[in-house]
Amino acid sequence: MTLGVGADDRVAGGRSAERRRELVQAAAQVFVADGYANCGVADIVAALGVGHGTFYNYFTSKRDVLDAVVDHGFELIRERIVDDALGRSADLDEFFDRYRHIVDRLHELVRQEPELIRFVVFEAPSIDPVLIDRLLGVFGEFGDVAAEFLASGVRSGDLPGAVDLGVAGEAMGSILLASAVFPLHGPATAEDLAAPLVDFLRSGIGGPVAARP
Amino acid sequence: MPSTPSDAVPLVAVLEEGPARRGRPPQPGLSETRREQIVSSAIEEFAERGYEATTAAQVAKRAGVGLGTVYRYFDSKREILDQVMERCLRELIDVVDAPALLEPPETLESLIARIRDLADALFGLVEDSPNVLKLLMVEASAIEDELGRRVMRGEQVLAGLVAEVLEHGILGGWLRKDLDPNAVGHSIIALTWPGLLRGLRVGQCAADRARYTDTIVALVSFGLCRPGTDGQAR
Repeated sequence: MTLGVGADDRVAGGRSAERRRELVQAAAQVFVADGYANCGVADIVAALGVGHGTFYNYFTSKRDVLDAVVDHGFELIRERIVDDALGRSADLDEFFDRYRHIVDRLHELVRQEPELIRFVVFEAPSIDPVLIDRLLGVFGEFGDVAAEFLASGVRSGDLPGAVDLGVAGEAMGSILLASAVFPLHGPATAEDLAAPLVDFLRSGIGGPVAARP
Repeated sequence: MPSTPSDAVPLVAVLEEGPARRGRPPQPGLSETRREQIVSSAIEEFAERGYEATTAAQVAKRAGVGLGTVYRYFDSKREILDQVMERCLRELIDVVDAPALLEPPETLESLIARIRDLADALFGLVEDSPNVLKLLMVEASAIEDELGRRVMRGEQVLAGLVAEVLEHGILGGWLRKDLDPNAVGHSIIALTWPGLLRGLRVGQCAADRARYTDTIVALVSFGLCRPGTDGQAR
């Protein structure tokens, strides 16, 4: 927790952004530890040591705080992967250097917050299909940035014009996320997948099809 | 998940290594039909409501049997889920035509054609079996235990299939030697995620299906054909 709550963090009615963050964190921990279906608001407030009234100052229900937990998780992912500079890369080398940094940043996040990321990517969509849209939103945002660069590549003749750039950009975002979250499901480490992934994509969109063998 | 395709658990073993079936042994004929009927109803209910939010009573009602009947065939809701996931995995293997996919390809063109068929078959699930797709993509991955990791992720099975096919090409010398079949297998399957998830949420038209498949095939073919970053030729 931060040491103090700045005046700017204060919101109306004596509520604070800091307290809201604490509630979201506590809810995330309880959801991860007990499973969303097996816990209630009582568990969340008990984990934080506050009363029910405090909870309801900020959230209307368990489902309401779930949204905040998922928003928080996807915001962390978004911060790591949506990099406007990627779209303005001057050439493929710069693009893939940035892409590689994004891979590393995302893996770092997964190392720091494995349970939260696992929860928002794998578990939340099963609680409410609407939450799949958050995942699609991140793919879409990454896809838009990647597509911006890919479009310049198409203009310069590096890339085949037949590729749907939006779909290609999203798919690149999907591989990115997959490389970071697959290790949460199995023994392969993030490092095992990162290098071959970048290599595959770099070669994959790096130019025209080579001569047939 | 095996770390390399050569360690890969054979497909049949993946399916048959499921949990030991508890409860009374199934009786032939009618019993088996009824068991299948309960599993089919559970697929619908779990897909609509989610596994956690579905009760055994709702499954019984959908199947048109009493709750007692459900518990005569299954010890618990969890055991129903095991059977549901086994059925979904079988359907997935069926739909991607795993035996045809695994037939050793002779050329890069035939390999890419297979990946096209695989992607097209997966996008076909959006229209033909959305419930199975939803259970495999959304429900199975939410189950966090050894069983979930081993049996319940169709993604791992598919990635393993692709990896095995890629290995043929590497061993045959017509795919670049620096390709990591395991990582690329996962990557190729991951390319389909956004399209499949969007299909589950908002549906899919024939044009979407073609667009997704074409783009994936384009990305994959360049990835497989080009030399790697170390410049090593195929």
